[in-house]
Amino acid sequence: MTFTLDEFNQCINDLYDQSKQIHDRWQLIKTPKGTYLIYSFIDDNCLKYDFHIVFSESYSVPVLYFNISHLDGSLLSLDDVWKLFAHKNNSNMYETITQQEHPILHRPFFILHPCHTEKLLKQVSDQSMNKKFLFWLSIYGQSVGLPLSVNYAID
Amino acid sequence: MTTLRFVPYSSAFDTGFWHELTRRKLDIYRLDSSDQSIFGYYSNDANDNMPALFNVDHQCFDENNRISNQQQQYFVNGTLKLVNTIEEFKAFDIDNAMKSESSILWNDFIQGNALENPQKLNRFYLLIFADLKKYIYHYWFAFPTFLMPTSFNLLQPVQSISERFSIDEITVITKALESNQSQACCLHHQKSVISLKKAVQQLNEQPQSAADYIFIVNDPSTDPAHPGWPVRNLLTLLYYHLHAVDQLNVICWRERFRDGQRHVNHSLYLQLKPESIRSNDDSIPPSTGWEKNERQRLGSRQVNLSTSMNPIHLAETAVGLNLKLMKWRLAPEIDLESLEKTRCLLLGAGTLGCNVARCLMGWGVKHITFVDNSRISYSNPVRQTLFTFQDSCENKPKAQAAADALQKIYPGIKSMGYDLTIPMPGHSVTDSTKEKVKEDVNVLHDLIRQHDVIFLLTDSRESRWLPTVIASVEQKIVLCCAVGFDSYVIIRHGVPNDELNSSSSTTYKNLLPGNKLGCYFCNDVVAPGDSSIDRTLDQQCTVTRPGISMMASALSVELLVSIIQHPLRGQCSAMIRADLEETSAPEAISCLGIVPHTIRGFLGRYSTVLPTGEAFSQCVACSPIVRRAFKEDGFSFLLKVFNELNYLEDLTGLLAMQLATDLNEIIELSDDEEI
Repeated sequence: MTFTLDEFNQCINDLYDQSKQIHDRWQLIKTPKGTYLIYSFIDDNCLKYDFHIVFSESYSVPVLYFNISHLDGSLLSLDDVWKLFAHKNNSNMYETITQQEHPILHRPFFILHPCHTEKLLKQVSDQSMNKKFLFWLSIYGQSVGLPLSVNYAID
Repeated sequence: MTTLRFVPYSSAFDTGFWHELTRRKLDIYRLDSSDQSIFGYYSNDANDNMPALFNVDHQCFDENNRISNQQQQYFVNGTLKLVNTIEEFKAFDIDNAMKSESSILWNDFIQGNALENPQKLNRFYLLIFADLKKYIYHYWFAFPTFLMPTSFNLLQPVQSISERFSIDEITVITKALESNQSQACCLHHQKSVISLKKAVQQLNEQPQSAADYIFIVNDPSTDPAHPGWPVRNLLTLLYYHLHAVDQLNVICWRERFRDGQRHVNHSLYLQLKPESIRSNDDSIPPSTGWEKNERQRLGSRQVNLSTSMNPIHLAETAVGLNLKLMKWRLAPEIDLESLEKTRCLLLGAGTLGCNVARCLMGWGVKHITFVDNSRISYSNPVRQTLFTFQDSCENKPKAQAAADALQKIYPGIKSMGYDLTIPMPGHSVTDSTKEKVKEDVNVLHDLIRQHDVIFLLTDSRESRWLPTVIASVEQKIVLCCAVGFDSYVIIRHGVPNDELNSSSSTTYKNLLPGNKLGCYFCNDVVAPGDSSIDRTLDQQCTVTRPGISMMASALSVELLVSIIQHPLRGQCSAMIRADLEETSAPEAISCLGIVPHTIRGFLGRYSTVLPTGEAFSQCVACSPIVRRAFKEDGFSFLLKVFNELNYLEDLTGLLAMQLATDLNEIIELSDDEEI
């Protein structure tokens, strides 16, 4: 169960529109190399979370890229990130955090590896494209601290 | 009467800012350290207890090119000064910079530009030195503000708007401000938004109607009693332009959305008593605003980004991560750290040496040393995978060239090359060469001591003798790999331990412990001699089917990895006929599988057998007799071996054994290679 590039673009545009309606902070970035979504916030410990939703051509699924940085711009290491998420269940096979170069920004980001995404999406194969997208985002996002308002699930 | 105090900005960098800054320095600015205009932004939607952030990100270098579409980001223009040396940074005249930046601000204030365009209410100065060797960035922000008036007097204590206004009033105010995108504006009669310029004009015409005007300024601070820097600048601007107004109402507007709900009640309401700050000559008042460092002192800050920007660091992280992924997802018990620390000595930097090194690097081994006495010739690069055609044109020494090649593949490797001839039995040592040979022996001995694993990858039998003896004495792990035209053999030498020699040679069930395993020479009944005389060309150069070397090298490394995983390492047992057994004895298994003693492969049949050889008590290399002779007599023992025919056979008793074997008593000779 995969997405085409057009389906992906449609889903992220829809999410962005919804976000504007509820005054949430998703940003839609359109570049010649591709379109992606960004969600940024700063937590109570002054750590900045940046989440990017980018399309993976080779797996034909969305991929969640993220970085956690201090306010001076320095990034957390993978060990630090693991410690941060240790309390969330990380034995789940869906959640394998690895580091890769962002395909559009060309600098290192952590990603949740997309190899299991297709299997995950099979569980909701009968749902609409947007619902599938939201399902994916809620599962992958929650394991790395992406806040997703329940309002997105309401039509 | 209380005075108003303000919360200064806290600088915040998006990681992308540093990447873009570096790119511009390298590609655009280069050595030009003149002022560049950039911009930053602040927001008024922070959570409680957050600092008042001032942000710069990768788009801040070009105001026109901003492609993100975030609301509630209020832009501020500024000056970037990117100096070229740390000395310039440390000696920088911060007072002068502050004067020049604040004079731009002051001019915008007194000439009314800031009233027309509230973005001009604020400015900043950013001084940076980028150390692009270490990826350490030194920086210092300044947010100019004026020291006039000396205090902002409040007519009443600071309140939140919910304390001053009713819910309905707040609703009306919020609705009126919904369309406001600017940093500051004014509310007339709490419901119509007018520009600062118009408000000032009207107020100067009718100062008694001051109560009808509330100035609105977006406030990055979250402190319940202290507004942020933009408020201070707005007040300074208004104090300059307003005459005869005896009260000034201000809302420091803070607005955030959580789960679709809007919250504004934490905005502040101020009521101040303005004072005139005009002087006769409109000279610029003293200014302040350099950001304090982490220790709350006036000084610069720095950030170290080498782990995310230094390509060498990035390569290290990526390679390590790759191996860790394998571990996490497929082989959780694998011990990668031990592997990384294993120091490998490769005797021979030819076809086998190059491929063994490549495979070791794939496993994350970081310490590889090559020993070889030959140079790269034209036929080598196609089979010896670390060398290029250019290397062969230059006829480079192999060991060093191999070490250099590894560095080019992965800079984090510790690779070294030694141009060394291994002294061999049957290759006699004359008086003139004696000192050199002794030195070579010592170098080899030291190298073996300094490494954990020795790979025997040379092109002759006799060159393996000395390293086998030394490694046996030093109790090192030895992987011996030899190839024929379409066959190969890989043997892990037995590693003697310090327990007293048990005399029997009985096997233990179906296992042979690690200290009883044989070496490359254990099956020989003759000592290695000079094999180079009387060989045909193909025998001298060991021409094999090219795939053989790759297969053998790979298997040698994989066998080593399995050995390292076993808790007993070189001492781990081998099953007698591992390939014939249905279940494996637990002592002979590592998390990667069995750890055989010998792997013999035959390419003609694509078959592999896993025999196990016991250490021969009269072995010319690893027997106790030879080891003792080496430990006790050192070089003088070796000289005899190199120079005297049959010395080794005599010493070990092989000579006697040969003489005792009466050919007449042998009934049948078997040609079967298999043990």
